[in-house]
Amino acid sequence: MIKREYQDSIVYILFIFVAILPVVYPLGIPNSVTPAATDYYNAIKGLPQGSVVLIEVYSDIRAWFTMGPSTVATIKQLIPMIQGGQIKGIVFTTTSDAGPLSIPLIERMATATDVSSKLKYGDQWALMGWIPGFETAQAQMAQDFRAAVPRDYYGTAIDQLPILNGIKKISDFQLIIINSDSNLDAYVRQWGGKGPKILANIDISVLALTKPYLDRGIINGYMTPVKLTSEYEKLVGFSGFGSALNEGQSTVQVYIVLLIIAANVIYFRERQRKK
Amino acid sequence: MASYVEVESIFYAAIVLMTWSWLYKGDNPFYKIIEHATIGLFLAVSAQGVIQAIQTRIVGPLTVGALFPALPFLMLGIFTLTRMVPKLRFMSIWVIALMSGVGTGVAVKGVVIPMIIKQTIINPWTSPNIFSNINNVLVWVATITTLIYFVYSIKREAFGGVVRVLAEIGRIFMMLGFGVVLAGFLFVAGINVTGVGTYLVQYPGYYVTAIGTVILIGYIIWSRNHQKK
Amino acid sequence: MSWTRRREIPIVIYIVSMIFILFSDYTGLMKDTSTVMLTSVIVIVAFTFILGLIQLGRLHISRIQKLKTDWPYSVLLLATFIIYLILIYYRGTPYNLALTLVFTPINLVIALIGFREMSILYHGARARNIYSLLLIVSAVISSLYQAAIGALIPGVNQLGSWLNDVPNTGVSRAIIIALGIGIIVIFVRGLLGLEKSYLGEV
Repeated sequence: MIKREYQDSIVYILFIFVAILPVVYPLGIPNSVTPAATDYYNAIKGLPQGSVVLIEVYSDIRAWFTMGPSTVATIKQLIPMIQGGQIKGIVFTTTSDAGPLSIPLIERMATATDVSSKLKYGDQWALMGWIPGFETAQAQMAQDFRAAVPRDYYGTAIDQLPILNGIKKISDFQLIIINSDSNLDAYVRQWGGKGPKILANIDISVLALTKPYLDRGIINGYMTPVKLTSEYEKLVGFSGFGSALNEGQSTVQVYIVLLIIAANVIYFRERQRKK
Repeated sequence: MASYVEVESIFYAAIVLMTWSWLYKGDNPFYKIIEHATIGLFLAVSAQGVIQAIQTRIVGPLTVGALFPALPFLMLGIFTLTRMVPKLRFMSIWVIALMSGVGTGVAVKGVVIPMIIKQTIINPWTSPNIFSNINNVLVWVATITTLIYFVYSIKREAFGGVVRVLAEIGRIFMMLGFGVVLAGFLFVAGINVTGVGTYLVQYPGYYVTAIGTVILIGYIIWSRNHQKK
Repeated sequence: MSWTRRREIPIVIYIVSMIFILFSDYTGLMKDTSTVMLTSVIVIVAFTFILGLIQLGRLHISRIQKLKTDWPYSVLLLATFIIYLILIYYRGTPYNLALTLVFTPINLVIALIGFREMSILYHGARARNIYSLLLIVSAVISSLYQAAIGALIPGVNQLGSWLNDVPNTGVSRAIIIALGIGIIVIFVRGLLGLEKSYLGEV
């Protein structure tokens, strides 16, 4: 029997090997588009003229691989709509508990989509920075957006940002997209049912707790990492990180299943040996 | 001259391997360097956010003579900092009380409709699709029995043991539901390793991987010889 | 005892602020004052961060001054803090390089996400009774359902979808209702003065 300290090392090494394998040898696993991806895509496509979209980022830079690709794909769908004049623009905020660690995630997403060269800052997009206080900050944004966020991340007064003209409270946005790897209870309490549609870019682990809100129409659509994101990327018309991670995800899930089976086989053999 | 992408790959590979060294040896110099650098970076980013928040809400308004509400905010901030002074610590409790009270009020005002009322609305059981009806009944049963499971003020033997039966049914549904949640958490596990692992196997990161592997093998051999002595 | 140190003062502050937020929201009156109260929490959170920064700074400076164990790492910590803070304020190429080459990769791997889960799974995912067996079977089916490979295995999509839509939704609804009731219970306990966590008392 292998020593316990070596068992863990073997588990880790096999895990790394399995996770990286598809990067070296692509497996070619097919992926078809499901209704959830189509619903999300259509919810954005059907935005009315002149809409302003709020993208609230709760995740921080540590969630780049899980939460980044879905919002990158969302921004890539929004950019041509803004350039074509269908919608007015995007505003990024974060009320995250992780504080300013969410800003680097937003910056990385902006770099990946080349927002600063494709859209005009202040007129077509804005980064409002971190608003401390989490749910309290969200409550204030709902009640009085301009008092909650008097300046953007770079120190410019909100009155000098044309994209936010006429935005006084959260209900003045037409769409809110929440990027979160944690549950959405606070957002639902403060922004749910206030008027704007809400789309959730969430982690798979949070989908369970989000489903009741989806069923009740409080949240109008969702996007989860990798599998659904790769389908969404197909609809938007590019192959991004979501698609690249898709195969790695499949091999890891198979490894997890085999690990569980192996753990139970070892457990039952040890039990029999003790008897 | 190396391109930016190549330099990025080398940095990523080096940082990934230094951090993953913890998996083999626990706390070691490589991991400690990364750990302390992480804390320094976190502090810097947090400090910038905090400075900006105070600049916007206190310093900026005070410099243009707008005393309200900047001055009360400054007082609250000073009260918060009295936590470091034992004789004045009681002032920080006032601030915590204010923060807790506002936080509770904010949470309560949004809780009733989305979290309670709307969750008790039942989907129809009499639609033309029988499977949909069965599923809606099962969802209702799962919700009720899960709530019963967590009611500890009624004895399980009450009402002729009916409570026990319902609680056990709730437990079965919970195990099925939590399995889905567990799968969700495991899902995250793989994505990160695939993402960062990409830098270890692509050019020029694999050179860093090779050097790291040689160092690891050398260390294993050295420590075995050291132990024998 | 001086009247300022009486525990009734923070209790009154707690109850009054809580009721005022609700009063302002339901009646629409005194919205400006309510906005100021909400902003005050934002300011308090910012100063709490400063408190943490000061305490951490004191700890590491003390470690360097007394040359305690691992003091060179404390030097590294403080140097990283100062240098990155300066770079954040003087934006440009050095900041972008530090962000993409150092800050981002460190943040992506420092939590060692994945490895602990695998270890816990290997040592803990054992079917000791019928309930743990149900949990494991549900986890296995959902894991495969979430990946593209699940579509290639017969039955996984249907079962995975059912697990998501029926037991998972039912249990999640119950948990959300319980959370909501819990928040209301905290509110009532606060009104009655039974809630003492903010006083530092159990």
